[in-house]
Amino acid sequence: MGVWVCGRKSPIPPHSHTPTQNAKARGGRTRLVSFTILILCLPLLLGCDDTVDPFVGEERPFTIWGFLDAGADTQKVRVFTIEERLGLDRSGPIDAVVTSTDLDTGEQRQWRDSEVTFADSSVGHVFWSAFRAEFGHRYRLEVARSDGAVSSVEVAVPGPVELLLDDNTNRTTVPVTILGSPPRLIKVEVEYDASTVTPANPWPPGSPRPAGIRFPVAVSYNDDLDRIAGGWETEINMIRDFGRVQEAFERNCLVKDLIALRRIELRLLVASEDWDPPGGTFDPDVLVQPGAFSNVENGFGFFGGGFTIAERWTPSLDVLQAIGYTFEAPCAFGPQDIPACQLPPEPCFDKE
Amino acid sequence: MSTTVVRAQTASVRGFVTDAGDGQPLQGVNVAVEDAAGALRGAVTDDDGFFIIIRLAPGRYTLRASFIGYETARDTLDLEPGDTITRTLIMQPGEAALDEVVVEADREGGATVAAGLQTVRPKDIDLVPTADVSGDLVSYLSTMPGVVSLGDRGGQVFIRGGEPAHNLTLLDGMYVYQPFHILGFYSAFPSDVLRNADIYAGSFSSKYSGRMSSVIDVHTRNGNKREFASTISLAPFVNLALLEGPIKKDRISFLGSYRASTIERFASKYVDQPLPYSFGDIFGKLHTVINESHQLSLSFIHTYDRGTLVEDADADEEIRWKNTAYGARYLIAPPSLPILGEVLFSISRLETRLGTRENPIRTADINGFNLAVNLTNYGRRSQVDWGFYLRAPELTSALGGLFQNFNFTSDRLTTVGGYFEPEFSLAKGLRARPGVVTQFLGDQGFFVEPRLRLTWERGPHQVSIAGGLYRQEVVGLNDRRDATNLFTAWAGSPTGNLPTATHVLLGYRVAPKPWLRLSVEGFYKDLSNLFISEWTAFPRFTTNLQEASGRAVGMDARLEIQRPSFYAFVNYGLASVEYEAMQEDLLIWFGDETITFRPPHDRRHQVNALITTSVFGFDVSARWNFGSGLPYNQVRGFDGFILLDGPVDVAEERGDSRVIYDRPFGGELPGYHRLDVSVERVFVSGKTIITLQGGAINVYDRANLFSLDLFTLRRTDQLPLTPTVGLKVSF
Repeated sequence: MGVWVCGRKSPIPPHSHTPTQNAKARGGRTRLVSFTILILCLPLLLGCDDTVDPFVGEERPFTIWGFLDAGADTQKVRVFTIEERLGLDRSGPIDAVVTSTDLDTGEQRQWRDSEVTFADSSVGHVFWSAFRAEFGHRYRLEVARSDGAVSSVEVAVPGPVELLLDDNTNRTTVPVTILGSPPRLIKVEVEYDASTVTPANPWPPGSPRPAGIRFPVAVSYNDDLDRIAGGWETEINMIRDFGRVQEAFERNCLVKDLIALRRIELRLLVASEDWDPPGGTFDPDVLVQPGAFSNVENGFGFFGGGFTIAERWTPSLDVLQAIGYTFEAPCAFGPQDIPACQLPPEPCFDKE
Repeated sequence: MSTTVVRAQTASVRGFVTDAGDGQPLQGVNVAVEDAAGALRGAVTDDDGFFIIIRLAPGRYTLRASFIGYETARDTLDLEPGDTITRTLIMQPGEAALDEVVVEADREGGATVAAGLQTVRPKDIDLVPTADVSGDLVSYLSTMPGVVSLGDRGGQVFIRGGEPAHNLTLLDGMYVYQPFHILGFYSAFPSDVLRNADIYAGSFSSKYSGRMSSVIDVHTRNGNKREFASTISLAPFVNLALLEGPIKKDRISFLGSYRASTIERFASKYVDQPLPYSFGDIFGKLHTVINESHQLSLSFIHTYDRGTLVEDADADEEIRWKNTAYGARYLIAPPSLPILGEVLFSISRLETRLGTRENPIRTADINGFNLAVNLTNYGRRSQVDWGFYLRAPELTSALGGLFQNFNFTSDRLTTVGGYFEPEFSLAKGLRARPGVVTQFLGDQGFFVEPRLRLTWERGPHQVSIAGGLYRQEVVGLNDRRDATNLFTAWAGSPTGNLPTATHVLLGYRVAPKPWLRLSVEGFYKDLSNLFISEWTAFPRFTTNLQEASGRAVGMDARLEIQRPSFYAFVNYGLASVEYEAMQEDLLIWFGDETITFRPPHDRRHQVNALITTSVFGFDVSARWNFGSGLPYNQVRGFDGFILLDGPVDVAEERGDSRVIYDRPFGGELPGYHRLDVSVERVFVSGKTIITLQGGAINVYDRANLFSLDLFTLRRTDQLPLTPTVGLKVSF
């Protein structure tokens, strides 16, 4: 059985008990004191500040989003204060006064605040004023804080335009002309008010005939516009668009082979000159960057001017059939190969 | 023909040097042969304890091996022309007698520190106070000036500007893709199983390839070939059990260790904060001395980690990873040739999961084999290292939209390559190691990477210059905008452009006194084809990847004092890392589509001071660590964003939250500093050694910031004042 002795990890042999033991003990005490003083002094070499403030502050007081709509009798603008907390919820009053000035007439209006509660229960501040923005007028919108900080924007409402749409032909294309020198046209869409076709005689016999599923599909024509003298023109190609409608039906698990069409609508926003995103596309990953697509002075966001124009029509039966639309599924009594005739429908997984 | 004549007229002696107590190979042993006239020729043993002295004239020699802490081993050799004598020298522990033989080594041995390289041994690790009575390689690594860790948590180590995925970590030749545990005090390498670790902070030699920043080449010791031994250590953070011994005495040994964390159950109680970490590792090794010229070792390691880095985290934020590696190493010293060779074959796997165990949000696996043959041809005053390799990691990931513009699924990257690196003696004290790596990376093409290392030594002075070109074949992709996001996706280069680095370093080392060493080393790394996260004002945790370039420049200084009862060093690291990235929408945001910024690991100043001394039979150690603040993204404010892509009714459209960031990484967090102390006493009784340790981490309870959630202002700090106590029993 061994005797316990004190050792060390290092290869240096253990202390031996020699006549110099007392001197060594004094040396040990000296080292201990020196050691303690040294390590306790180290933190004093540096400050003790361990706080961190991630906010550098922002002098611009507001972010505003919206547009003056010459087609509406009430104007709206969404106002965000710039805060030191994340979240859209701005419930409670905010320190903002919104005024607009018609720079052509000098008429001033003070807008009223309203708290809008969204589906997720968050609250936003939408300021509104009941007036119709005049075509071709310039307006100045100011959002002021009580300390005098102001975010402002000047916006020009485009002048009136004339939409010419030749839908009386028996062709599968529709020429469109927009006259009146509108500065910009955005969100140019042709919406096909389409629906599924249900079998006239569903299987098994006696089954209730299901309702058709209405599924409007919008096809963008933003990239199909041509500027002409005094306006813009394009041509709606309904055969090409039918393919896109079918794709949309398929993506949404709807039968794409039998589609009925109720009507077509062309709509677009005639927009002010500055409603022009960088690169010409509305890419949220780009536009979300603060300062991108912003016309607000001393603030963030965008406030434009514009109005919507739209035209609806229903092509003739001959045109619809030539395109590929139909109205009734050719279902007979009995199981069918045509998916639209099957009840329940074939399983479909969301292809998005 | 002349070569044959010369070889026929000379002889050589080679062999291995081992410890008589446990059969371990001894590195750095001076081995000398002395002829009748007293002329000396010598060598220094390498990591395997191997030495070779060639081109000896026939005659009688005295062979001597000397090493601090061991009795000098002697043998007499009668060399005939053409003889190749193989000797295994077994050294008995005892008093040092180094001055008995003065060897002017012909070449660097395993113990020599060269440019950019620091060799760490278990006794170095044991000097650093830790939360555990058993040391760990990362404890020492974190004291090195060019090494930046993001703190006590995370297991992310950045070396001289490189990302963690830019580090090559090898354990007995096996790839360990994520070598650090989730708690920053621990790696996969407990000091109890280590023989040494070569840490190249940059400008590494041609033997290593496939990574662009640094190399951590860890070698484990063999099991005891003489007798069974075991170690058990208990501590509030981690417990360890180790067993080793001979399977066939002096021939075959085994070594196995197991560590498991207890921090979640014990340490979190008295720290009084949740420490939701669970980790551990298992290591095993079988070593066989087949004969005097052949050795075989089989190694295995498995590590596991689980945890979340922020308090009150959701289950979706839990990250888990597992490393598994198997490897074989065959060492051969052919009797008829002045060559030492090794054949390495290993299979390594890393599985990473983020999210719940049942439904992880993201997964990433890397699974591959590595076959390498490394050879060293010895000349009288030179040597040639050369070899070839085949690697084929398979990369599989499901990222759940983490990187929106890249979708990785599965890929296998095959690399075939070779290297050649001779070492010449150009003049007295001046040695050069020019090298070249050539590799073929399948579709990526054929690449050549030149390397160079120059060392000049005179008296106590050493000057070294090194540099080279380095490419990374497998990239690790992270979202570094979020400090708490440890998830790394391994993939081939998303754009096909391989990340590349050019390294240059210049070092000076002087030992004016036997107890005093000073070294200074400056470095520069040029980095290209990096992949970083794109800036966006959407407060989301998915991102696009974008390419970036960068540079790291800095200087490391080290002052080391070693006295019989006192050891200390002070390391200072000065570094600057800058990345440059181009993103079109930055033009709108910051007025320039090219932006230069400090990445989040750019720690400009770092100081590590270690003092250890003996007081009344106790080993007392203190380590103070200071790091200047890391960059982070500051915020100007939060607002909302509505996409006005048409006649949007702002009373109906809810919009999205938005962050108005200041310039990327333009802010600097408070500095990090911490003092750790430990007091240890060892009791020896026969073959039983008991070590008792007490200490404290973060003695003055500095609130060092780990992460700050800018969206919620939730702050997570590094560990507070944490007392520790440990018991280790070896028998």
